[in-house]
Amino acid sequence: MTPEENGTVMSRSRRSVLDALAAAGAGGTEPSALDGKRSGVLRAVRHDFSGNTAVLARRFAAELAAADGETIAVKDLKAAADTVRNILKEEGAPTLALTDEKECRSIGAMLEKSGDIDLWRADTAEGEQRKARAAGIRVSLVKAACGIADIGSVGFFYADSGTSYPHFLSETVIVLLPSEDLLPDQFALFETYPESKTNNMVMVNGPSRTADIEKVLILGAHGPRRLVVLLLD
Amino acid sequence: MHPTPLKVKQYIKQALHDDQLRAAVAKATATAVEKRQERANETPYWEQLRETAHACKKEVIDHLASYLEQFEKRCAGNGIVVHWAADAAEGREIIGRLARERGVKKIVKSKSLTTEEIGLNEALIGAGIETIETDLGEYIVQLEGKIPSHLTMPALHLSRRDVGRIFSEKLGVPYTDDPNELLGIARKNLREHFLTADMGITGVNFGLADAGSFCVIENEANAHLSLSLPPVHVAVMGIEKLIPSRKDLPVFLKLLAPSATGQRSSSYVNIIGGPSRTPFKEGPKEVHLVLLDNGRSRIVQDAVLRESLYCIRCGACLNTCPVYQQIGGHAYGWVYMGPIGSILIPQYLGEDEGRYPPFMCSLCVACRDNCPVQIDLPGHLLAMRNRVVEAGKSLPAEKAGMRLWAFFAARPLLYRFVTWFPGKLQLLLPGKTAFPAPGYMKERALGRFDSKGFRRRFYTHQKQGG
Ligand code: SF4
Repeated sequence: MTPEENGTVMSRSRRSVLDALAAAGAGGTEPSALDGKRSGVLRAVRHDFSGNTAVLARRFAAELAAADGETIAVKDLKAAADTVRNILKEEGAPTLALTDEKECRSIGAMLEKSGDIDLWRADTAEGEQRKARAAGIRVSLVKAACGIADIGSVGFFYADSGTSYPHFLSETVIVLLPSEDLLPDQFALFETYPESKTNNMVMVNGPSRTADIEKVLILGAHGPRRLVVLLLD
Repeated sequence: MHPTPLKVKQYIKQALHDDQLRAAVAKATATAVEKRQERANETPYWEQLRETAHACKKEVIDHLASYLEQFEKRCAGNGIVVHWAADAAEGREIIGRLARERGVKKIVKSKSLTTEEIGLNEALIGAGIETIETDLGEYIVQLEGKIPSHLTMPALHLSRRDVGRIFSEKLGVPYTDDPNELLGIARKNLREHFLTADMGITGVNFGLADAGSFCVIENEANAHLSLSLPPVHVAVMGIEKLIPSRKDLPVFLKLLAPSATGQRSSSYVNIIGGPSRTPFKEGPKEVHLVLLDNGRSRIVQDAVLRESLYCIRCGACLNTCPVYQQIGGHAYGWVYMGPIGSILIPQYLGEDEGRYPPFMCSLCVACRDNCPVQIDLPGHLLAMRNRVVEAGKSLPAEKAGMRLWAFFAARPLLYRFVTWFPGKLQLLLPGKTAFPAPGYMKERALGRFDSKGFRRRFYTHQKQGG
């Protein structure tokens, strides 16, 4: 057994690989021309697309539609709750899985009042139980930390959501996205949020898909078949 | 029987006689080329992206030891256990040991060429561990008992009828060739495996050196489930997969999906920086990262050819390659194929075993124009040919032929005669037939010698001011 030091398994191979690379002249660092290229690309990207929230929202919806996702604008949480209720009805689903963000909780509370919807909050179960329960619920409501307009994606930080099971195990995923959290592009994601958030996250662009059989596109590969974003004004 | 690039001739013949395969490859590659072009055309800063991506990879590969040490330190700080594997055997050994020590019985895997490269599945299955590929294409190919035939479309060579047959034979389900139903069968089977696996294994698309995290990109959600549901996540990453900073990731994301599938973005971009969901009572409790060398540090020694390590495995060079379009991926005899495969095969397996693939190229340079990280693929193919010849691995007949040509080429008068004479001699043949060349003409047509010849045409053309 090789010793482990600060998380690295200190093997002979580690030294030999690094030595071989250093011997090939691939060690050290030097100032590179990279910074100029980086800022050039960013300027070009922003020149091509940026704008106020309305512009970002339009682009977001168009891009998400191109990736087979749906966007529904909602003016407040009450309207969001009504939309969720309609989707549940459409899907013939009696139960809704929820994550623990405060917006989801308030929508949950509104739905609960009507009495005909069964709610399950993911944080109320742990480990295996959470897995099994989440896999058995067809529709879920989750909240995105941000939206990325130019590719129509939503971003989930695990530090905020605490879970990704409802996001991936349900067939229909409803995502609440406050429009002030829309970013123009992925560059803005890494500019805006610290490493602690972006290091543990997933960006989602539409429902899961495959075209592995004769290039026929089918939605709902191993994850959701349907993704609906409620864009909150 | 293991495929080997030493048998490419046999594989090429098989492929050329397989009409269904050729139709499938032609259709899939044509669609991918067209969609990639649409994406490039609609992106005014496409070339700038390519240049920047090239510069990022150059920066990393030219200082790989330093970036690796930085990456390793940051990963460890984030709770990722880093392992180093000098070669394929050590990679298999490390992962096998991790599984054994934890009493792992079932592993779900998401598509990873690096694990194909080290023959991981066979080793794990040989150790009695149920190891299941979960990407639909890979799942099909695993059931078929083959390796993927494309970098991003593993089951490209199979028709829906083939898949139906494989499913009914191997899974014992009633035959269907409806892609929707076939996916339904796979989804149901695999969902059960995701929920009960003891370990998830994924590849890595990009390691983020400054952030100590890594990125896994996919469309099916199988990678996310593989790295979220089992208690242990093992990621296998070639040491060249680093990029300098998380802030550079968008450049690559904007290139990868359009180049690979023509999508603007992949469906899922997972970034993993340790067992971060354990405080919330889910997700893997351990995240292991195996850094694999397996010949890469040797490739770095060549200041020019090290550029082949910039590859982000998008498959665009395969799609656009007229050779790949005819023969598909299995004909290359190894896990990497197409233009990039033809460069990597002799570098990984040596000039002896890998002597043929560098010659499977017409030097049309389409691959270079399509490569999102601007790798000079045709230049490297030529360099590899040179190496093969210098290592004395070219065919005796080829060597003799080139020597003969060099002899005449150095003697212009004689050269003119020997290129003029066959044209004249041919006039004696009845009808408009060409010289008989029995062996050669079995598989292709031999044209008549042009009585004008290249030189005469060239001079006439010049005189006409062409
Ligand atoms: S060499 Fe370039 S085009 Fe080919 S797979 Fe790699 S990145 Fe893509």
